[in-house]
Amino acid sequence: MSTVASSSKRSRGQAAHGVDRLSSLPDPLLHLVMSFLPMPEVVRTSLLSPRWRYLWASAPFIHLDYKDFVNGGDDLKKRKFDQNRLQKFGDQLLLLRDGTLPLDEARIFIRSGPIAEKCCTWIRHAIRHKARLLHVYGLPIGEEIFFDNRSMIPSQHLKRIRLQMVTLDSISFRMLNFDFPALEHLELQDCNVWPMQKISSRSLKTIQISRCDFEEGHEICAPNLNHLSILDSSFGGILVTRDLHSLVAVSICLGNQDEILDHRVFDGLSQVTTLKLHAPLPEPTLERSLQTCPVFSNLTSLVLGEWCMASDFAPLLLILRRSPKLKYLTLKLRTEQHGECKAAGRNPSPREESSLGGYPSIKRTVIYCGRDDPWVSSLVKVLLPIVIPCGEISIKGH
Amino acid sequence: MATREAGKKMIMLKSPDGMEFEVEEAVAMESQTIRKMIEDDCADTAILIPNINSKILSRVIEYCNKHVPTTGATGAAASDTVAPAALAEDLKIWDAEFIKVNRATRFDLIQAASYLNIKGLLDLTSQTTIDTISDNSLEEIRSFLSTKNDYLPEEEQTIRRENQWAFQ
Repeated sequence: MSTVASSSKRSRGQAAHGVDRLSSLPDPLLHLVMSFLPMPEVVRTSLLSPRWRYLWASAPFIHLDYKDFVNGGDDLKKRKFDQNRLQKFGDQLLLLRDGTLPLDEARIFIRSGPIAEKCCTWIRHAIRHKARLLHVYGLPIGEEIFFDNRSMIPSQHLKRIRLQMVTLDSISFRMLNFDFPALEHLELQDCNVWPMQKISSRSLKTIQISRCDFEEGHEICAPNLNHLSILDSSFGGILVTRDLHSLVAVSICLGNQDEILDHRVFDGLSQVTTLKLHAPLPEPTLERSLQTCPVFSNLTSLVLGEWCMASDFAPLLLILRRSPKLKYLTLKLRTEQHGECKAAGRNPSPREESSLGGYPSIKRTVIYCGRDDPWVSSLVKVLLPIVIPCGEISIKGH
Repeated sequence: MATREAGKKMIMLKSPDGMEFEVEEAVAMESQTIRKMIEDDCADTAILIPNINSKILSRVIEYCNKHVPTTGATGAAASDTVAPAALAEDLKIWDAEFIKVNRATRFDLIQAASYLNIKGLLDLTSQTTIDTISDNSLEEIRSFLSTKNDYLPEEEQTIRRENQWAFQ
């Protein structure tokens, strides 16, 4: 052991005398350091010294990013994306890299329609190089990239897929559900999805959906899913969850809808331990959901938005009664006023409605609200008899 | 394994130059390498970290101490008390200060982060290395890395031709 210590001392000494310590690192570490460089510069490191000459070709990543192919320097007016240069670079890179070595990650970001077809070829090529992570940043509707059999081929290796600005249809979901048996993580951001789809992959553990546009409804029934988050997305049809027996944490924040829908989001969530649920008013959005609301037998931490205060706090009280193990309750009220939510004229007395089961012993309740929120006092009035025996309520500003 | 008053499990880490560091198990487990040892029950007394000297090891522990998730008694609800964005910003500032070290120390940290498999530290050290060489000419990078240019002029021409598509 002492030799190791002294050798590290020695090499520090040498660094001062101009010996290249970075080059003395093993290939995987140099690849990691390189992965922070723009891809063209990664290839250019071949000029550094013979040690670096072919290092880029064995790198376990490809990053094809349109931002690295913008000409014109700092002058914003003169800046122009050179798609021919990106096209040529991407082709050469995939042709000349060592295809026998698997890709850990393939990131392909394009910004211009004419090379959409090229992009699909690159994605297929990357998957054939056994990519484990695929991250595609596509194009707005009109010149969109389709996630289907034009861009995808089945793969045993693909573990994580992250798609931004990509269009998905029935072929996409058939592939997601059946053609990637190792797929564990799926992230969709600013994507467009049509028609009604179903996610039923048996390998998926995490689904993150944000700012997506579902032209119709959507069903989530992936049996091994642990984490589900759906944020600021809009649905043209109903959102259904079903048979999510492994689900631990859920975060759903529905965007404002054009029409009121009877989502059935609670059906599959009976096993979760943490649940965050925000939904827009008007009230009936989740009313149908609540009718089939299961007992959340493992739920310990619950975060709700002001929607749960509609109809004399009925949704809030119902969910509390169905959560026997709840310990932490958080209510996040928006800063702007919510006029549609009619003030409770009569004072509900939750303790009396014992026919529906008792309330859990909540340890800690936190209410986040704006200044002088008129709703807080009635909310506290409702919660006090439930919480007080063994817990506390605190009120905080945003 | 020693236990301290709060009931937190402590782990002893030993550097090859004979220094010992007692750290909370949760902090040590920021390292995937150590986590594996603990989970496989290979860590009942002290863990010898073979190739990281005490100076570097103490810095690595400092990093892990700062980055260990703060759950504690409040459990799952902890994330609701502190805004995660503010926390992340705070960590970023701390990281920037932490990595203000000389080149030799930074390379030692890269190697330590790699051996101990601490992703955050590995990313931080690599990113900082790249930040200091990006946007420089080949000669500047060579001199920064103290890399000798071992190419003959004609070899350099060949490589430029070979990889012309990346030099446009």
